[in-house]
Formats: sequence, structure tokens, C-alpha cells
Amino acid sequence: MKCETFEAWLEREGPAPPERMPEEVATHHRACPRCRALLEEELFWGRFFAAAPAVAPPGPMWPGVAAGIEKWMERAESFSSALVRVGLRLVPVFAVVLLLLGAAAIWSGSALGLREPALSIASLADDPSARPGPPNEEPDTILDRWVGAAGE
Amino acid sequence: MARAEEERGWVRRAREGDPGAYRLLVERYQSRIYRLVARILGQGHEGIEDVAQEVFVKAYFSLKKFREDASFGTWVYRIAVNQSRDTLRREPGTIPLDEVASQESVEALRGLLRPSDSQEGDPPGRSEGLRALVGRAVAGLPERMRVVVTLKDMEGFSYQDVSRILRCSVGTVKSRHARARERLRKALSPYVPDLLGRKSHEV
Repeated sequence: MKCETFEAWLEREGPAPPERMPEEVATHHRACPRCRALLEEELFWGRFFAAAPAVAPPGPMWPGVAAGIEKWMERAESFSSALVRVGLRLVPVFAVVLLLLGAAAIWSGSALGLREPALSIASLADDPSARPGPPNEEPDTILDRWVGAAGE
Repeated sequence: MARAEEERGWVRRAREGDPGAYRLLVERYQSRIYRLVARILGQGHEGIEDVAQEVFVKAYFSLKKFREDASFGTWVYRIAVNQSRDTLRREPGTIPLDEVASQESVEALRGLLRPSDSQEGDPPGRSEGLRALVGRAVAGLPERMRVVVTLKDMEGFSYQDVSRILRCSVGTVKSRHARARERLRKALSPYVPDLLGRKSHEV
């Protein structure tokens, strides 16, 4: 057995006195001073932490936990009912705001409707020359001007 | 296995709103959670009971978020660690070891190095002193190291379990654990000089 295997065993199984080790581990432990020291240290820490003060709850915790849960639920309920109360108070405010917005939209729409359009369909029907469209020139003339051959 | 199955049943029922099932879970874990909180906060801390109760209250309201890829125990331990850490962050500060290192406790500590010397015959005052010394030595560790030492050395979890509870890698846990041991060695070395010589054997 190698030291690494011994260390892995120690980590897996926890420190145990040599008499409780499997034969292979015990053989390595007897032969290797480093692993002996390692085990000794682990046993020391085991005893050290075992001497830690015993801690136990003073009594059953459920009554306190149940009270805590209830308190949270009450708080959540009072929060949500407060939210509902505030919401109910805000409903008329929102309604008024919506009415005002609607009225403003209607007013601005009708204000736009009063303006004279720049180009009405009726005027186009009366005067076709006012219709926007391509320039009144031959395409070849336009192309010649574009390539600069107009004067040649 | 039956125990785990039974626990899953309680969790399911508690999720559905059965307070009786949640009560069974609280009763199963109350001692362990209380002990863990006490060891992280340090004994004598006034808020141990409140924090432990708060852990179960939080767990109750978070049950819907609990995915059953870990056991309820691991999950509630995680909540307890986080809750204790939050409490510590609000009130930092540790007490130096030499405030409690009485002559009796130092002698008892030295006795731990000699396993052949039985502790059974120690006078009660000496054992009390040793307990206080151990408690204070652990409480003197920085919070992250203390949590690892508490889970690994005092609660007996494996490195893998600790890494699951703390949601960090096994390597991180091992590193924090080794540093914690080193700190403890240094803190205790004035009283047990032999201990410092053991450093070289650290894995």
C-alpha cells in the first residue's frame, strides 16, 4: 500500500485506532512513520472536536417555528390587503386619468381634422399637372445629363 | 433508504400545505440545525434560537423552490449556514483564545495529545475548561473556515457533503479545511507546542 492509498482510506473511513484497521492498512501504518504521525494527528483532532461543548435546543422548536410561519403569513396577508386597498383607491384616479387622456386625444384629433390638406384628391382630379410624378422629360435626356453628354 | 423515502413524503405533504408533515421535518432536524447555528455563531450568542427558528420558517416558505436533487437535510443545512452567515455579517468580531485558556483547560488539551491518559478521571472543572477552550478556538476562526470545520470535523460530513451544502468545489472545501487546521494549530501552539511539529504531516 502507498501513502496516498492510506490517506484516501483515512479520508473515507475517518481516523480509527490501528486495531480496527483492515490488515493491509494496519501493515502500512506499522511500517510508515509519516502515516503513523498523520493518523495520530487525525486522532488528536477527533478528540479535540469531541471535547467541544454539547449543544442542544432548550426545548421543542416547533411552537416557535409555527408562530414564525403564522406571523409571516399575517404579514403577507396584511401586505396584500393593503395593496388591494391602495389599488381600490387608485382605480378612480386611473379612470380620471384615462378619461383625460381620451379627451385630449379626441381634441387633438379633431384639431388636426380642421386643417386644410396641402394636396387634396379633388384638386388632383381637377388639375392633372399638379399631380406629383416623374419630370416631364425624355428618359434619354435625363441619362445624357447624368453622364455629362448633354453638350456633345 | 426508508428514512429518505419517508422524508420525501413529508416534504411533498408539507409543500401541499400540511403543517403536520412540516412539523415532523422540524422535529427531525431541530437538534442538528440548532447545533450547527450555535457552532457557527459561537456559543453564548444570544440569537441562536431565533436564527435556528428563522431557518425553518425560511425553509417552509421556500419549499416550492426546493428541487429534490439534494436531500432536505442538505438543503436546510445550506439555509442554516447562510442564515448564520448573514447574522455574523451584521455583528463581526471574535474573542481571542487567551481569554479562556485557563491552566486546567491547557492541561486537558495536552492530555488530548496523550491518548493513553484517560480523560475520564479529569475533574469536572478541567473538562469544562477544555470545552470552553475548544469552543472558543473554533469561534476564533474566520467565518468561512469555521463553517467548514463545523460541518466537517464537528458534524462529521464528508468533503463531498460539505461542498454540496456550501455549493463550492471539493477542492475549495479541502483548502479551507487545511487553512482552518493551520490556524487552530497556531492558536493552540502556545499551550501545546508539540502540535506545531505535526504540521509537516498534513495531507
